[in-house]
Amino acid sequence: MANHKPKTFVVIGLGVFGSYVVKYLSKYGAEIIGIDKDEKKVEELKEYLKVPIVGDATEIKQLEDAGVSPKDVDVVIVAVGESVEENLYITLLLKELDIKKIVARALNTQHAKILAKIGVDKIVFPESMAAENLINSLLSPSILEHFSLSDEYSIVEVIARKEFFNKTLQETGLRNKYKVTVLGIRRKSTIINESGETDFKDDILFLPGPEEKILQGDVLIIIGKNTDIEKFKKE
Amino acid sequence: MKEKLKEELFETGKFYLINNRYDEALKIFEQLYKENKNDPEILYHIGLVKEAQNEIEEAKDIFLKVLELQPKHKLAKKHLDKLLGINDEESE
Repeated sequence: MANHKPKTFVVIGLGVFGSYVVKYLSKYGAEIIGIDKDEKKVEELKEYLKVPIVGDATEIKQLEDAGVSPKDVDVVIVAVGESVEENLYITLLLKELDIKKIVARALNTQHAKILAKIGVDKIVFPESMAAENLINSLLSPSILEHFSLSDEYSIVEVIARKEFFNKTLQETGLRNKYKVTVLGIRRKSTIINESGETDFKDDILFLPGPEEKILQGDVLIIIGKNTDIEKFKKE
Repeated sequence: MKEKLKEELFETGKFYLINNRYDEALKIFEQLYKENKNDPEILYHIGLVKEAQNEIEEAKDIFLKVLELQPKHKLAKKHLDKLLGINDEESE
């Protein structure tokens, strides 16, 4: 999927959610360091991990020994799901280590709010977000949502590229060149609300016509074959 | 910066934002921010422009800063929650 060197991920906590994340990441060629206290869980995922580690991620020394540093890893995913305290403590250690991108699993809304305060880059509720969606958003930051329709087809939300701004859909050649179809355009419009404050309103233009212009800030909802979507993303 | 000039510039920035002229809006808000670093409203509007331009990571950082300056800033919280994928109604 990625069109540059494989990213290095660290997954901390190899339970059900963590193991899905590992398997999907490995499917896309990422290099993964997996950490869990439970030797059995690490052993089960050994074939997917570049570096399997049985250890306690609440100890900063163990994280450092595992190579968790901003120089060596791109993203760290805290998938620990048994204890909010442990999850938060590990996240704080990662902030202390100055990790570039931290994704943390939230166990409830309060937990998510604390994670937001700590300043993690992405919070996920595994119950409401499939691991595959998370992986797609991590590997392709310009892809906001990814819904697999079948093994062959997907719907993705993608940020409109600069070169498309002020061009009509027809002029972008999305359909002819990339063979993907724009199902909708998500567009923010700025409004002044009743209290006089500035806010956004999200509009979706469904099935836009070929003359519809793409504007800066638009998000395109496209459908197509996975291979064509890949091609579109790589250009 | 005189208060009146600040207000006029702020209104101009909002005018650009409402008309989707994000680059011009950003220029004005950033200029205002340089001289009013503790004004959460100016910072909030910079966050809005960043969000409108789909500079999501930057927008998140800015909304967090707004909340540090003014913890009860409802709109900054709303936008940050949205960007972080937090929906209170889901689990509360």
